[in-house]
Amino acid sequence: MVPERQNNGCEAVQGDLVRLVCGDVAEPSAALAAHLQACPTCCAAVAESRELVDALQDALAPGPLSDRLVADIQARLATRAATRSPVRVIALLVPCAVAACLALALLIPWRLVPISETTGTESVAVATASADEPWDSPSQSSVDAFVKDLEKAAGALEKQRAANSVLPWGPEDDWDVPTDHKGASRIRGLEIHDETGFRICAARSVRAVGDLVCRG
Amino acid sequence: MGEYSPPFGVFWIGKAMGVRSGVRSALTAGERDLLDRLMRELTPRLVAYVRRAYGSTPDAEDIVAETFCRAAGNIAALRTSTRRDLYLLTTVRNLCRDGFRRQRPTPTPDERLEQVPHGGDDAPAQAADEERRRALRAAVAELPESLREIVVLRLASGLKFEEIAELLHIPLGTALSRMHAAIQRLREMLGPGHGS
Repeated sequence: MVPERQNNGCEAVQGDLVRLVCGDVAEPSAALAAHLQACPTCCAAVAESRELVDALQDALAPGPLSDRLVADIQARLATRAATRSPVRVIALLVPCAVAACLALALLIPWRLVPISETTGTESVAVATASADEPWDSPSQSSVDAFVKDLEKAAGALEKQRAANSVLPWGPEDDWDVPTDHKGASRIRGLEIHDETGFRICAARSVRAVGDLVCRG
Repeated sequence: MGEYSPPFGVFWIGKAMGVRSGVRSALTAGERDLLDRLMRELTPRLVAYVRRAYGSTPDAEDIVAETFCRAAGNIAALRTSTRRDLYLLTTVRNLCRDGFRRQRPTPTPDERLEQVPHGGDDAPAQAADEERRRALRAAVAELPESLREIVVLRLASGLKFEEIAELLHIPLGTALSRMHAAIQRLREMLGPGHGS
């Protein structure tokens, strides 16, 4: 039977006693050693508890690894990979839906905003273009035709006063018209339309974009 | 041209949100090796923990299998964890506590003990040993859950008290005092000479 506990500092060394009994420490701490010399109850408890802990360790020890269990786990993992749970499907679909919405949100301004920004009423030239003109990369012949028509229509094309920078959507964009060129315009882009007015090409990085047009 | 930014966002969104398309098929070879290694190293400890702390052998294996499935589903967390045994023990414990076992009938303590494979030889000495082990396991099963869990984690899973405190989110002193109380209770239940 367990002897009645004496309240002579047993509580204070409880943690040390447990560590000693469980084998965390090989020797009792100084405080516990001193206590054990003075407390026969705890002294007896140490020996009995050690024996109990050893027996419990043996009784509770993990069994050997079962090959059947490993095979079962591996089979489950394979099955889980093959058959996706509804939660997993939802977890996959939701980001896809979000991605699709973001893609639309990105694509729509991509197609519309630059065009409205980079073209304007200043475009006075008309270029001839074929129907299969690339969307943002007009052929060199189209650009040449555009510049030629522009020079003819505007009378003066001040290439020397080209904008400092016309990088698309960059902070350096400089579309300002110098104050001494009243009535002049910047060429902000090139649009090519077919006979019906359908825009088949738009570009900003072609020759003449950024140049000043001074109507003669 | 480089004029217009292509909508690359579409491609990296899924990756940024950490979506995986499957479990095992999505694992790299290294991750599969890690999982297999952990499975072989830790499965006995995990099964022992569930079996001693919560329930029967088949149920324990079920829970451990589910644990590895979940670990595979969140392999990044397992890979980066510094204490993978604690990570898996936490998952096992959460599964036990979150009612994973409630989906299945819980066997009686006697049934649990019968299902524990130990020895099996009819030799008298081994039979006596096995009887003693059964008595000890039955006594542990009778402990309140808060005490039983500490005993199992320390003596079956081999965790240090600091690790037990971390796993159970309790102060170290509480873990030690619970172990002390458990030992006291077991000594009272088993009487003298229990270890011999």
